[in-house]
Amino acid sequence: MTSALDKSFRGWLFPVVRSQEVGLRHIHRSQLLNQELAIWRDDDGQINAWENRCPHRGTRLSIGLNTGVEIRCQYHGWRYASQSGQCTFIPAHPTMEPSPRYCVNTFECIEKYGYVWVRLEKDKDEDLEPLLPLTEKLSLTTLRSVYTMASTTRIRDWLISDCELQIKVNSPSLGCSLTEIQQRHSFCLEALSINDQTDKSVTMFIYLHPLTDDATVIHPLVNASISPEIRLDEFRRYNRLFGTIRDVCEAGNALN
Amino acid sequence: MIKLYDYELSGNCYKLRFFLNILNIEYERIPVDFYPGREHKSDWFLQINPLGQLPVLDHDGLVLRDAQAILTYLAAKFDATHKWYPTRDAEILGKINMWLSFADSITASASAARLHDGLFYQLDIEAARENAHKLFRVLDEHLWFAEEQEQAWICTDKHPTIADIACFPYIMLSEEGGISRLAYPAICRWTDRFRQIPNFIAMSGIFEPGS
Repeated sequence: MTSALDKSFRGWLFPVVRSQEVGLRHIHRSQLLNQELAIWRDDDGQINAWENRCPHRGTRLSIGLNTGVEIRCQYHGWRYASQSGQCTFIPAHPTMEPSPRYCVNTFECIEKYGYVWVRLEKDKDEDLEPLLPLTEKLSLTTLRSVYTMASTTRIRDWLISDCELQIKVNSPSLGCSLTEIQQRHSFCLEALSINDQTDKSVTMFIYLHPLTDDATVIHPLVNASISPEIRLDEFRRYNRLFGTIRDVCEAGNALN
Repeated sequence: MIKLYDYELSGNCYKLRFFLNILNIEYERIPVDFYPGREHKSDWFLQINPLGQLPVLDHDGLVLRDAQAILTYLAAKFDATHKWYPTRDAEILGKINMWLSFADSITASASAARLHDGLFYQLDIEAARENAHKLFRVLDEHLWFAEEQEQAWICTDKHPTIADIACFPYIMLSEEGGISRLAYPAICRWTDRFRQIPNFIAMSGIFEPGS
């Protein structure tokens, strides 16, 4: 079986977490293509996507402290500056300037369309519009991300071939169904979501973020502004839909 | 005088050490050698709690077992703010007790996994981890929707309740049982908030938030 995690995907930009979930002084722990990540925002709002590994003894930076200007490692208190990842202070040698080789491995990251996007390696063919099909013209609302214990390939293939019919069967309890599901690129699908009660349809984008070979985060977003009065209901509806998609994909072998 | 029969590495005992500290109540800690001594199964301790479990609280002869039950007693008796367990609010009480039971299930799964990995207990480790993940998934979804409604805690919006205390330690220690919290970002944000509670205390494996 060809792994979906082909090395060439390391040059792609992936959505990793909704921007609003990377809050003040928090460190969001994640993965991308088997690479562990620590994602955090400094007090100026600048986003960082770092390898989740202290250069000192390999401790996860995500259990450390986000001071607003740096990450402080939990075990020996080594500090690493926002953006550069450079070690700025070693408590055991407080008067010494830390060697430049003590630097966290940092990854390119940007914030757009409500997500933090991360790329593990420099893309040789720098794409002018790397986040297509998303564009500035759309009015996007990000929904709850759904962590799924299934490979990205399985989820994508099932969404394209079996999802529409199976969801239609379940839709009375879900309150919505998906139709016209099509692949836009290897990790992005587009679909039409139909609200069963109102018959209203809205364009939806479904991003697949490979954590590891066996786990994926589904990041769905709709091309619509959702008004505050119905926001909670709509979020619950979509969460039920994607929870069902998750459950089916995790059941896995029984399907194929 | 309150006596707490306690074991340092027990998350259930931590719940009470934590809450007694919040309430600023003096107490006498009586250590019981859970491991390797298995003192909680000794004759003298079985006289105190026939179930042979920690923690046990003895308040001038009132003897209570079960961390969740003890939390409710301490809150009802000593919490002048009435916020940790609002006895006059039936709706919130119902919710809190729902999640106190949930916390018990966390003990049965995540704590069991930790006992297996850390103290070499013999049990079905795969089932323990699988059950923990099921529970964490439910709590993560609950907390995500709570955040959407500006609610910072499991049952309440601004002030934590004993439901948060009850669920916290074995979730925070889950990695010691091989249960990763990577798939539960809403839980991770909630544990961050919990560690910011004034007078938060640490235990082995649970770090103070730092300043």
